[in-house]
Amino acid sequence: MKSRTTSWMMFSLLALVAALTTGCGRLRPNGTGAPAAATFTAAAPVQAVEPTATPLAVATSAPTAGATVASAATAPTASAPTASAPAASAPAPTATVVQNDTSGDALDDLLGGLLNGVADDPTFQSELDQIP
Amino acid sequence: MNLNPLSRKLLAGLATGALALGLVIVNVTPVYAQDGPTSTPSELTRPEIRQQRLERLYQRAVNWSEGQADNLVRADEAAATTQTYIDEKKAAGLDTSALEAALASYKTQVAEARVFHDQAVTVLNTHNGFDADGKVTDVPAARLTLADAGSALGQARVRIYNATFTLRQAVKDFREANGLTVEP
Repeated sequence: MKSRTTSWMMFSLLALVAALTTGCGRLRPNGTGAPAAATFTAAAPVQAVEPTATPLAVATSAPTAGATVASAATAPTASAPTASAPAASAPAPTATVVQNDTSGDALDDLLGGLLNGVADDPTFQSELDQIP
Repeated sequence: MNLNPLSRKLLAGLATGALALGLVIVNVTPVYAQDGPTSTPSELTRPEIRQQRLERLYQRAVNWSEGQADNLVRADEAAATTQTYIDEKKAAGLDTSALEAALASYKTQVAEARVFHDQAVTVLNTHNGFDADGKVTDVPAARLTLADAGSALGQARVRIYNATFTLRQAVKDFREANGLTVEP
């Protein structure tokens, strides 16, 4: 009878050691027990800010203090290229004559820089909404 | 301790069972991503955390406003540069009427953006709910200040963006129509 009790106690001790070993393995610094690489989901790469193809939608909320609300900007209608075949008698297209237009280049750069640098805080409103 | 064998077995079994139960609990404890000092919803209800978040947002609104003021200065420069460009091309005998219309529209939208921007600046300068150092003194008023400032800054931003986008497209169209750009 005594030996059976000793066996029970030995079994319990082994179970205790096994359990502690398993538990310690789970209490690693990342706190998950799973491999660190599996803890986080891979974030999508951040895309460089480029001018969007269409203007932003104007919010419909009316401004206060007498400000005038701009009419909603409409997306520039890009005329779809037609795929009509040139008539047989049509002259072959000639190369576009390109004139020197450095001031136009500078203006385009200026407007492009302004477009890409418009100040924004895209998460401002959502973070404010989270605060009770 | 003088226990009979049955009691010893019972105690050992109970200890093992309790340990196993504990491990099960460890296994099913939810795991939260450790991706920065974000506050959990329960933390946000703590007054000091909420005030810190509001104060940070106030500073962000001030920064946003300053960046937008710079945008408006640059928008005026862009309008002046566009006018110079129009004058140059008109003197060269080109039809600049479309470009002139685009510039007029641009100026109108930038003026509207400036109205919203000025509203935001006024709200931030008044800083209801915040003291002069940007510390929260009244939570509801602080929230309202941030909501008003953020909304006005957002309205101004959309107008600056759309105006610039449209004017740039008009300049591109003009240049293409007059053979001033290299065809892709």
